[in-house]
Amino acid sequence: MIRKTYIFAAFTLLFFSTGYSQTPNAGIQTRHRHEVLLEMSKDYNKVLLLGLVASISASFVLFYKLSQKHKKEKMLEAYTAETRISQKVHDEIANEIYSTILFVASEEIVSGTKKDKLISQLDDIYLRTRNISRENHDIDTGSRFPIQLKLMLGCYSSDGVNVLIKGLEKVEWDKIIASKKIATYRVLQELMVNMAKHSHATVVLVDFKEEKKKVNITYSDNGTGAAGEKIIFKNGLQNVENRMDSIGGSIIFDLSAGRGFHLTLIYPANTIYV
Amino acid sequence: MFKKILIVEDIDSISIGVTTLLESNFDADIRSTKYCDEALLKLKKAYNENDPFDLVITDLSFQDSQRETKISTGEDLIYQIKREQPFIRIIAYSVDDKPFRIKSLFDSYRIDGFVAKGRESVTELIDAVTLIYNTGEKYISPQLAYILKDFSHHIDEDDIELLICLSNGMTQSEISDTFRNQLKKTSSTSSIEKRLNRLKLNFKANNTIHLISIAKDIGLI
Repeated sequence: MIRKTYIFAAFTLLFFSTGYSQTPNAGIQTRHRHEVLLEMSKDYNKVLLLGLVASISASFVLFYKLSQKHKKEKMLEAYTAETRISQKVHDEIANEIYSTILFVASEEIVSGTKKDKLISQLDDIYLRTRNISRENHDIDTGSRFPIQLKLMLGCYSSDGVNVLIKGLEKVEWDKIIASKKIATYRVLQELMVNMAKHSHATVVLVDFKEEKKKVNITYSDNGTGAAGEKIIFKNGLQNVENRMDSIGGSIIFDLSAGRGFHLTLIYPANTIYV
Repeated sequence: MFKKILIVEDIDSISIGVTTLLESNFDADIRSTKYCDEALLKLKKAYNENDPFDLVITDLSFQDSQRETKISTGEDLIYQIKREQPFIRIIAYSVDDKPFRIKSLFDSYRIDGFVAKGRESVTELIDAVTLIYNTGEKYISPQLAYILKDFSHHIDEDDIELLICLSNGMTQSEISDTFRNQLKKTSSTSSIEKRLNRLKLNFKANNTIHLISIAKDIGLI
């Protein structure tokens, strides 16, 4: 406010002095005053411009920081919700179903072939609830993270498919913050689930690298490939994209290869901003 | 056979089921409790009275009860038991089958057996008790055995180098020479052969040509 009146005053003086300078009676003194005022107003303009630029850039930085903070909070919220639900499913539903199976197996409420059918149906429900709980469990983001990641990837190996891991130890996991570890784990888990369900692959390779302060993870399999998988994978892919986005990372699809499904995940290894 | 067995399980029907099962198969004194704190007290009391338990079968997660608890998870209970009376054998019996959690139970908490609650868990539990008593070996439900075996396959830079050499049409002895020139640790023809055989297994390939074709498919070369 003060600055505004000041400048207004300067302009008014300038206007007056210009008026004076046009009159033939104008003396050296008024011309001198006019120049001083002109200089002054130029200086104020500069200050004003500088202030404007500074405040705009400051608000940009602030906006960026706030939005990053918001993103981080949202992700953390989603993660806690996930683990809480997983715990509930595990404690309350899976255990209950299991005790129902025991009950049906031991009591004479149904008999013969129907009993077997009932038990196997209950067992099916039980296994599904257990899977929900397992897929959304909490993740150890401490020093045991790489072992945990390795075990998770390894458990998708079966008679039909081999999961190969390369360079897991090349990434300095100790220096990567928890939210990035969680995203990495979940994204790879999503890819593995998709692989096991739809791809018909026999070999999967997960290749870890750390280059130029970026973590670089390549997933590839020799399954039915992007054309088949991408459509089915739409929902899961959205999750993968969201997760990578939340840690400032990106996904690159390699569609050039003839067979299989190939993608690369890249995200910054350092902790700035996120 | 084990003389005194303690079951720690917070769901009554499961606890009763397990007790009946053990009673009909083994001649042992079987007690049960719903709370970890109480379990530890019972173990202590029995020990002080010179009639200790020799096997504990415990669940891993316990629902929050209204009363104040010091120990709230199976892991904490197992840790305390192994610290105070390391001779007691412990079988974890749980719905939880997360590979990582089970592995750490064996590695860090030194449990003697893990039985996953499921359709087959009744027979598995009998097997576990028998095996642990007779041989002292560790027991794990067959469907989870892979966790302790570590089924993940690892490949390294030398493997890729070898695949590239093969795809370029080099013979194994030429590859051996190249590797030797690059001062690699494993460069003899026999170790190249071994590496190649391992790669064929890893890639589920029937022969070398198949191996190269798969390696190309997944974009390794």
